Amino acid sequence: MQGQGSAEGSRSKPLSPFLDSYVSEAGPRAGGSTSRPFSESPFVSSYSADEEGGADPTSELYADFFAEIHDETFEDAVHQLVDEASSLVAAEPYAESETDDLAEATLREHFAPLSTLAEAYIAEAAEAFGNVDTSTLSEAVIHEVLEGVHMPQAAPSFERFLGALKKKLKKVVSNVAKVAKKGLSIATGAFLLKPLLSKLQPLVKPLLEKVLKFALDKVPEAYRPLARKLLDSFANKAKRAVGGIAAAAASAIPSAPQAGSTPPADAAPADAAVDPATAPTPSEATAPDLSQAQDELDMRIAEVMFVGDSTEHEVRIGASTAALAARDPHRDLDRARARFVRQVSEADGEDSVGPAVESFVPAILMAVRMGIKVIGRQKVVNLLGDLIGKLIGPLVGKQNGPALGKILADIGLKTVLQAEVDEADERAVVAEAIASTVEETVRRVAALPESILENPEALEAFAYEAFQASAAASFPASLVRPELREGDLGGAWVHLPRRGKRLYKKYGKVVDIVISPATASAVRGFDGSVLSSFLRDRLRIDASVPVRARVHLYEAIPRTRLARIALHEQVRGLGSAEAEVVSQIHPLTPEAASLLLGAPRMGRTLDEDTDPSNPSIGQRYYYLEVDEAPARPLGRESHLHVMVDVPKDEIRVCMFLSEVVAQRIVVGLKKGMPVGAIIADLRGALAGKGAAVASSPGKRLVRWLGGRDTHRGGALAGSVRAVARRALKRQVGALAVRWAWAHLASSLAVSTADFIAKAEGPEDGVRLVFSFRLPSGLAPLQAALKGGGALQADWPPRQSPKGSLVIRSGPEHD
Amino acid sequence: MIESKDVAAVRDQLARQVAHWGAAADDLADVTLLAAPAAWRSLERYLGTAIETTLAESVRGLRAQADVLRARLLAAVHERDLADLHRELLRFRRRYLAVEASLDFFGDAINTRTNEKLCAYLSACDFLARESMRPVLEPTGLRVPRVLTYVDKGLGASILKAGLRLWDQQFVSPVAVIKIVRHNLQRPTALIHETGHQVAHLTKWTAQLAAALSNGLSGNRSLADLWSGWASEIAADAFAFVHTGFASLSALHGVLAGEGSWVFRVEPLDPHPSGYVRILLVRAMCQRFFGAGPWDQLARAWIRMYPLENASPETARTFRASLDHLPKIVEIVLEREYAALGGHALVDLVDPARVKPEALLELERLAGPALYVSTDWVRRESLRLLALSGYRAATDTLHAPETLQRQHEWMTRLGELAKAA
Repeated sequence: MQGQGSAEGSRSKPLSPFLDSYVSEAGPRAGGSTSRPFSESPFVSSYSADEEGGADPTSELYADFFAEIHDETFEDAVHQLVDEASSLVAAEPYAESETDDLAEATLREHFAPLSTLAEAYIAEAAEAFGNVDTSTLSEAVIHEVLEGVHMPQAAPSFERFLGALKKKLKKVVSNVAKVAKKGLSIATGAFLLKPLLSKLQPLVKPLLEKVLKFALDKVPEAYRPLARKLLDSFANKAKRAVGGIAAAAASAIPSAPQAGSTPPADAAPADAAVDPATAPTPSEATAPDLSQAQDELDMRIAEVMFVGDSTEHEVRIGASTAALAARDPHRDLDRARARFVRQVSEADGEDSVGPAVESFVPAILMAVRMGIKVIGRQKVVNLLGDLIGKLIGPLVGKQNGPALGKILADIGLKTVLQAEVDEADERAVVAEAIASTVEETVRRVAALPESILENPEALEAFAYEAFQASAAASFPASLVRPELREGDLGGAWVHLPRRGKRLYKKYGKVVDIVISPATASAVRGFDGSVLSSFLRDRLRIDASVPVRARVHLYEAIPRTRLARIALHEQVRGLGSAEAEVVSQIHPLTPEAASLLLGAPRMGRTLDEDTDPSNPSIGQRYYYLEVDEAPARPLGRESHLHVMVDVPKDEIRVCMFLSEVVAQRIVVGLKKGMPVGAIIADLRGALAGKGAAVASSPGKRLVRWLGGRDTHRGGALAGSVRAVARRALKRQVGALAVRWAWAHLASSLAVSTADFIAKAEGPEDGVRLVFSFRLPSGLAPLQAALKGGGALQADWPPRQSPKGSLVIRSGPEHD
Repeated sequence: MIESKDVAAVRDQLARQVAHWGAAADDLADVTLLAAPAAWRSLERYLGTAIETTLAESVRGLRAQADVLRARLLAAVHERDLADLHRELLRFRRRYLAVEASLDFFGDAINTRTNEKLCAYLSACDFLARESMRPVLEPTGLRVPRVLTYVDKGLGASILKAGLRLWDQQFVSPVAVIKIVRHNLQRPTALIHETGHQVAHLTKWTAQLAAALSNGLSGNRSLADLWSGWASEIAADAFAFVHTGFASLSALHGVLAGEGSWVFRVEPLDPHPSGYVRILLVRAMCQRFFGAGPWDQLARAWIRMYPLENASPETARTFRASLDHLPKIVEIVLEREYAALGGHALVDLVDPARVKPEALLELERLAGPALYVSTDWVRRESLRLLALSGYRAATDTLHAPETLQRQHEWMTRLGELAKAA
């Protein structure tokens, strides 16, 4: 590539991050932390209501009800429906269609039987409960009645959903019974279950419609304002009915980051030091959070239960979503990007690229989460456009473009497609790499604090650094200055699939590696899982010897879901959106990138609450293709989690031992190995999870039942109380795990026969469920978590509380 | 130039034949039609892809040759051109028949997966076969080929080795194709004998073993020549032994215990050792690594049922001399290091102590009933399960039905775990 002009006038000729460019005197890099994810909630901040006036008991009841009917199995089932729907419409003729009409029609037809089955199931359940007085219902009776309701046979994903619906109904009924027992008649009418449950039937269709919308990336952009309207409307009605419930309702609903929304007033301090050159922790979701589907359903259920009627809101929601749902929120940016790519591909020199950038930058700002605060600042937009235009100018045109295109095609597109590419493809990959660079630059700049945006000189310096880093992330190392390179693996990123909507990026080079046992033990994945455990438990590979693998690398872009990557990749072990296949895609953190590839900068930091089903833009992942691995992963990975069950006033620790680990323990027990040795073996098998619980437990490792977890996706980050709550959860989790190990050590000898019997069954793996009760109960902890007061003097307890151990076969959710 | 009527007639006939054979080649285009869709789907995904790709390439080459024939027909001017075309046509016919033979072979093999039960069973066999090769091939840096097993009639198993040229001589088999016979479906240790052939072929061990046997028995030239000529089968028997122990001997006995004349047969160019000494060789392997055991009783019965007095004097002399050298032969085959095996002895790569009866029974004790149902045990110890099942079938005939049922269950489980992606 030819170098740029003179070094003078850095404002008019900024230094390029690409090789053969001048070294500039860019501003010093700011140290410090990267920008943290902001929380955005359409609802009132969780505990501010409590701070202001103290909670009204009825509001508390509503909040508890809403929290307790939440079910992870239901969430998983919905996720899998979305993934199934996505895979149904992934290929021709849907993929390249301009509109989604055909896809929508196909999916509605596909889900119609499920809708009928679910509604029939609810109707039958309602009938089964009849006119039973809920205040007399026990858990056992609820269970028995629901077991008697016919569960229809259907396709596996439908059966999974119906099974989850059954669990949901069970929770609804048992919580209604709880409310009834407290003697509170907060809903209109008496607590007769049949009429109450019958009102849940009409909620099925909107839920499945939501699934369809998620699958087609058509969840309305304005969902959040809509949710706000719904809440306001509900709040008014409910307030009239029960007084004060609305605030409590709002307080129970978690926040979730959304593309294009404004940060709340209590966001991270504006002057926090930022370093746009450092890869930020990806935090902007690639797609709407799927958990909204259950939240919305639960809100409607609560409305039915407490207010008595959700019809009015059904109509309102229906009308509003119909108006908004015609558009895929990513489509505008897609069009702008396509236009930019076309213009850059056809550009014949630097001068012709400026107008393309000028129209692309505002389109990006409209789409990115923080963009709204920048788009109104014309000077910022102009500066950005001008700077970017100058930096990408040398990359286009007849002089450099073709050569660049050839390089990118050779180490990116050709390798990925395993086919020859033509000149048009070569031009396109250059333009796409430039577009990625521009987009990423704009995202980073949009995340800068106000103080930088207001200062043109500082802004220019930061924007330039952002461009450098973005170019390094989008272009192959051979084209980038050495000090900026992310790694030198010899590939280039390619947008895929090549026809239809782009869903993810793949690195053109598949890297051959040998994973040493030490590396396998050190690489961490989601929720503290360790690579060696994954290899051992799911791929049934002995990770105590070096393992040869081919590493496939991916990057999330708007619309990416891991299921889509798994579906579209025609690689041994992938090629399907089934959950077990998707679970083989791991986060490429800087540590993982360093250990596996020797290229730490290829990795992206993972937030402790990162949900694999809701990736963030820019997040990177890897998949290991191992020859001796089975065609599909087997069984489940060993894991542990802590459940603080406030309603039952107990703390539970659930340790699931994979089939491999369970059988190993059986052999140890039969050989008469010392208990200590067996416990040490178990601790080793669960090392990663245990460490994660003690250091950075996300919501899946330490679960708090009885008060919806507010730490979803970075809620209330930056708040001192949030930090304190995390610390408390960490402490509780670490203590609980310690108690569990101590209890196991003292009880394993007498539980040997039980363990062996459970391990000999046909189910995969064994579950150890420890339950502990604190002398003072969980109320003080719950109060501390809500920020309502200091912990009592006897916390933490000096001795392990009394506990019990139940051993079960298989990996069923606890 | 006006053609004579005769030449015109030849041209017409050649044109008809070119059209006929060209159309026949075109009919082979969709190779997936060779077998039922369900049978294709039952294959492990990349096994099916490898087969389909190779066969499709083979047909593409044939069709390209048909295009050449058509072009040459159009271009033929003189009678000598027609004569050349005729020769080309005959070559094409031979190639067509060879390609068809390849397609039929694979199609028939895949089509034996006629029902779910058999699919699972044969998938288990595919898995067992592959796992047996891994410990020898991987340390030597060789790729473990995929395996397709199928079932057919007959007495003994056979293999089309991966890498061998197919009938058309243009393409090589992308996978190892192993035939197991119906009577051995319940005791498929013969599968491991066949993978032994594949391993010996890929590592080129046979030649080195033959040389070692020739040198080791050099004191008796005719004996040395005889045994070195049997090297390929001895290699395969040894491979089956180290993986399955006594079960391999028991299964071999089931195949070889025929007429006396057959047991004593010595054919100069037959790579198969005479049944008589072959059984006693594997028994010697058992003795060497396991000590005393039920193999001694089997040998006693063998010797009793096939007394050497019934063989020709020369054969009896040869066999007696062979028996004296069996311990040495065992040492040469199992304990000597070979460059082909990466400088290792076979027993260094696959330890027969793991399939000693005591070890198998200890495995059963430690694992308990989970041994036959656990996704971990069934997969990890599939070969030892094969050895254990064969051992039980051979030594506990009273409970033979239960043993067979149990084997069927764990193999079905294994097949389900190993089946199509």
